[in-house]
Amino acid sequence: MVKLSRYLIAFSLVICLLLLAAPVSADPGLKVTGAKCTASVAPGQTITHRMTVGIGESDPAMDIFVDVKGFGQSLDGAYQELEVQDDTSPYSVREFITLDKRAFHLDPGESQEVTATISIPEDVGSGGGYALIYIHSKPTGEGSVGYVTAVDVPIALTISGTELIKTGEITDISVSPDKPIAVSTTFHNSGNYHYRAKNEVKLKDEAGNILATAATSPTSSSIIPPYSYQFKVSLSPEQELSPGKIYYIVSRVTLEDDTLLDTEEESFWVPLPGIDEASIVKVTVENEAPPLIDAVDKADSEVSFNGTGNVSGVVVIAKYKEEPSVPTISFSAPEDKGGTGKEAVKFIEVYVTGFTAGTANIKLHYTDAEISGFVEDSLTLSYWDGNIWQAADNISLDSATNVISGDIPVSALGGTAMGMGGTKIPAMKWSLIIEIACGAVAVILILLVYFLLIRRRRR
Amino acid sequence: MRGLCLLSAVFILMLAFILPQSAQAQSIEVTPPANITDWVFNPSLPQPQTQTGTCVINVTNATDNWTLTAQDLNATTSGYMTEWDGSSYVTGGAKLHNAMNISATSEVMLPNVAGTNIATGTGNTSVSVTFKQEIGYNDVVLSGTHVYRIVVTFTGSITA
Repeated sequence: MVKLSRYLIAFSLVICLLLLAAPVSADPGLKVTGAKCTASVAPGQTITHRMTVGIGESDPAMDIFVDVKGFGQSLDGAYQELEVQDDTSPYSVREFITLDKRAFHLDPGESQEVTATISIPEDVGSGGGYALIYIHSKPTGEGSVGYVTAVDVPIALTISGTELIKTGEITDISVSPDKPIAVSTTFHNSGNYHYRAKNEVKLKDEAGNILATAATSPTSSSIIPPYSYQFKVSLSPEQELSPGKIYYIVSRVTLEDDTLLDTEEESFWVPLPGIDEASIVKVTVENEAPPLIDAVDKADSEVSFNGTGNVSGVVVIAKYKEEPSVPTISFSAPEDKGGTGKEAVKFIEVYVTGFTAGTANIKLHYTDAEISGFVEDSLTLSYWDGNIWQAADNISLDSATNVISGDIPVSALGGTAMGMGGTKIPAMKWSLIIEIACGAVAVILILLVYFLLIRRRRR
Repeated sequence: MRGLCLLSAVFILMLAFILPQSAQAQSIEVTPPANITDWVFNPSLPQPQTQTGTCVINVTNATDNWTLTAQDLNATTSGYMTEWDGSSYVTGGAKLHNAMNISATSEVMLPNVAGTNIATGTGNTSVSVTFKQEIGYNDVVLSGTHVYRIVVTFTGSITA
């Protein structure tokens, strides 16, 4: 029994020692106790927050500075110490905080207490109140890389007796359709109070089938109003996405307890092989007559629609870097073989989903350099209808503004390329060149003989 | 019996240790990497040249979330290692052509004025930090005791 007790005592002592050793022991750096202030305070009330700032026994003596800063936040949740001119948040309490000391010297092993007095005015407003207390050393270390060691003490107050509004909105969804599909959702805290949030993202195809989902953990730091946070997730659908098709991202941001803050849907187009990705222009139409789409800057094109009525859908316009590989017949193949019988100048893609009727008027802009060597009047606009290169309807050419236009049925714009081509200026035949050269040589010889004869007569 | 008494005493000691830990104010301790005193640059070496170190974050509670940023807040250097004469930056002195990058769990390019995190975490953690500096043949070779220098601010914070 005595032996068992001894074992138990030894075991307990070991546990105690392990617990004592739990904090990571390392060379001590700048240590701040009272490193967060999340008090509830009434309008007109004054509170104090005490911090202890210290360095370790083995540290060199250090000069320490303490400042009150505006509370800014970057898209990854990192805190930003804002100067007075940058601190424009309506929820800032920076100007209501005073410090009992702003600079002091610490010898090894020493610490100093710093007290922040926070005097909240009666008219502070509702929701939260935010500031940072920035504690930092003077630069230390000689040579190539020196350091400033710093601690931000977040002040996140709750103004008691006021309405705490936890709202937000998704302001942007960006998608990179590479593998895995990277989705960034930018979310703005539009309320008056901080909260942690999480993001769930779904990938859907045009038929609405869910192909993949992903979710984040709650943010490790609260999103402070009025700042934004960028959630990032990766989606890995089991099946490869089909090039030339539209997919949808549904992004949903909630509080930690799943209360919905906002949800948004964004479409993206998976580029076809050969597409210049920098040229992609995507326009979403929601229950309206499609507007004129000006994609001249990126894809040299303007697209307008007739007879579609009010529709909901997506239009994608993009430029090919080279002749598209999808059509099974070459653009320049003879007409009786399904081609155009013309040499290609350039190709674009106009993809439409959600439209069932009407025509699209395509205006393709070109430059003099692009049609160099072509007979301009011969330019034409054709599209791949799945079987042959088909000439667009109502083709018109404006050589003064370098624009060719034509009409294409919307039903044909489900993932087909269109191209502009023309007839090349005939090259001069070699036989003609030789004949001209021979003629020139003969003329020179005759002139030479003539001048020689004249000189002889003069002598 | 005496053993049981001792055991109880041990547990009381344990409680005495644990309870103040949970009741005390939250603290954070930030220890930057060891100084890099003499970083020798050579454009013929594989680029970027790197130096590594460890930044230690200690917090009171194992559940405390923290963030760590690395920035260059000096307007003279603004992310670029600059000629240093041993006591100050040389007025009109040389600057490396490429800004320094610092990576931990994510990478930032100095000066990183926006304050993007290089690491976030929970509880006590040692963060491995890599300093990356691209050197080119167009960078000026310094003479004498002059060196290229930069001061990096490591800021830790317990999250609100």
